[in-house]
Amino acid sequence: MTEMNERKPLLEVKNLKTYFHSNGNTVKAVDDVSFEVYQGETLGIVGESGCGKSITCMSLARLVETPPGKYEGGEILLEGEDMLKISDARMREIRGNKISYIFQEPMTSLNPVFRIGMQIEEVLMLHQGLSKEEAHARAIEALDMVRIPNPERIVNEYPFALSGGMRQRVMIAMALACSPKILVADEPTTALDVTIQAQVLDLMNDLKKKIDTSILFITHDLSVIAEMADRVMVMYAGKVVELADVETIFGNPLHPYTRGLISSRPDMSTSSTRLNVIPGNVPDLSDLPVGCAFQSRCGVVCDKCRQGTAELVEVEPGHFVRCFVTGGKKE
Amino acid sequence: MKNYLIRRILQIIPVFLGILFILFFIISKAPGSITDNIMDPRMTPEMRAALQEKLDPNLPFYVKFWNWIVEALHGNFGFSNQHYKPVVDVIGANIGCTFALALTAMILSMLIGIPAGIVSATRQYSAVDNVLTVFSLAGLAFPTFFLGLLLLKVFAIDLRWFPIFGLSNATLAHAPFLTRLGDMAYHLILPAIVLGLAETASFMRYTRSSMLEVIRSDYIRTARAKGLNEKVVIYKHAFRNAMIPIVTLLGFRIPGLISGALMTETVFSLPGVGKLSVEAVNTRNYPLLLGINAMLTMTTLIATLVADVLYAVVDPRIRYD
Repeated sequence: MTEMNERKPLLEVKNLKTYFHSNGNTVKAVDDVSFEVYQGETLGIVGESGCGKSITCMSLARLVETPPGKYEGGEILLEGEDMLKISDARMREIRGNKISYIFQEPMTSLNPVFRIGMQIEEVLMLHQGLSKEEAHARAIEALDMVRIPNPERIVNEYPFALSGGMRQRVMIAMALACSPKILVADEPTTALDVTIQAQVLDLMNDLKKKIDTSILFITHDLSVIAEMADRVMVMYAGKVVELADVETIFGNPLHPYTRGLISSRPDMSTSSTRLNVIPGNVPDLSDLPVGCAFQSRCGVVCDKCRQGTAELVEVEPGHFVRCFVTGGKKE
Repeated sequence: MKNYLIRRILQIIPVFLGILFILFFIISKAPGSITDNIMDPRMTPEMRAALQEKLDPNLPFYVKFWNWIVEALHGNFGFSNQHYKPVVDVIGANIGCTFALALTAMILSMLIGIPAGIVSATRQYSAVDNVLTVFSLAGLAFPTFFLGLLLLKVFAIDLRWFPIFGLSNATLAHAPFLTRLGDMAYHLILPAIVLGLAETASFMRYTRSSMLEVIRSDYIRTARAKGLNEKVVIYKHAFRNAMIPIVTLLGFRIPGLISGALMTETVFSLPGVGKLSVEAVNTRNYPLLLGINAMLTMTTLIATLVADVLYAVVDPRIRYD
């Protein structure tokens, strides 16, 4: 993956901080997160619930509601434009056009009272200035592209007439209608059956090649990441703890949290009946301990971890780790 | 849809008869009789008994109920002794006023309540929202008769901006139609405000809570992620969904408005059905009371039917077949 790093990134996130303020508490949902996404690659973001992966992605198009959320700092550069500085009107031109989203819940992500066609046409008319008729024809094409049978009929249906898998295909069709630069997929298959899940993932991989879009793929399912991602970013308590290409993450995970995640996958090759787990829970983001946020669950914790937070260090080319114990080896 | 409508209309018949039966039962147990208010000093007890026998014979209520139905099917809904007119004519002469009042109040309350509710929801906990919330709670809590008297005192008696009572100015009886219509609207302003205030408040509360629920849903996030501007997100994507429960409210408020008109009409001395029914109770005019209640029952049943049909219009997930 080193050849990718030589290219200029499509999206650069630098020191992004998205905090939530409520009742005097500050929750640092995204705390100093930096990463790049290159043209045509899929960056997977993994982490437990509440680790800040969704908020990171929502921040990219300023979709976090403010208040209670607040962008405290950093830059989000998409083709050189800082998403945190542009006007609301410019932001709306980019949403659905350059950055598109697919969300986790296909059952509730489509507006129940509008026809599917209308919901796709809306994006096309808004961003591409198409007429109603042109947009309608393009909506049928878009549905056909996501392999929905009978697109001419489905285009006039309401969302309630479709299954979850079909609705997620509609969401994909809608998100890709304007051939976005970046598709943000926030756990797009979590709510689907396993067989449907595989179909939807295949479809996304095919379409990614076809329209040459980059994908930011959020999931907590490591097997999905292995199938989809080129590079993987592991997040814990609002921070990036490890970032590397997918082979390295699975072959040589360095951060204790990444190791924990990988070893807690069910392993069919051994006869072990018990699943490995990471003990404990994600800490309360409004009440983080001094030092490393993972210290209470970590097997290799040392005194240093309880005093300060490690920096994200590049231990080998393209492999970044934030850990005093395992991350500093090659320095 | 057609089958549903036929079935629904047929359902109205037993419900209507059931309610009428209960009405007959209650009225038969009510004290006083139809001759109580005939105060002729020359009338002997025998004459009174004979008159009672003629006007309202002493029969069990279910027999009266049956007789009423048979007569009603022949187009005879009873005779109002006070007015020396059939009940239908008496109600007919008064119903226009009530409908005009209820309709004006309804339209006013929707035009004010729904947009206010949307504003309140989109700026939750802001100063505007707090002011509107206080206003709506006050509107719900304020007794109609008191507000009516207050407005009369201030705007009709002290300031002389509005007429004190009635629906029309007698000097304009032969004026052109539009002038008379304008005059009626002028007379209806204060009563419509009084009747509409509580309605406005409840429309506002319903719209606010319905919008708040919708605004937090996933498809609104989708709409925003598509790049739609906030006005389209709120007024198209959110409001179309928030409207669904409001339509139900609409169906239930129509009968409420008509019965609410009772108090307002009494305060403003408007010649409407509400005032008529108060008179009918006071004078033990049971045929008239029955007629009015039968009419109100029918209006309620039809209004709920209309609400059900509207429900299917605004929500594509509801299909009747």
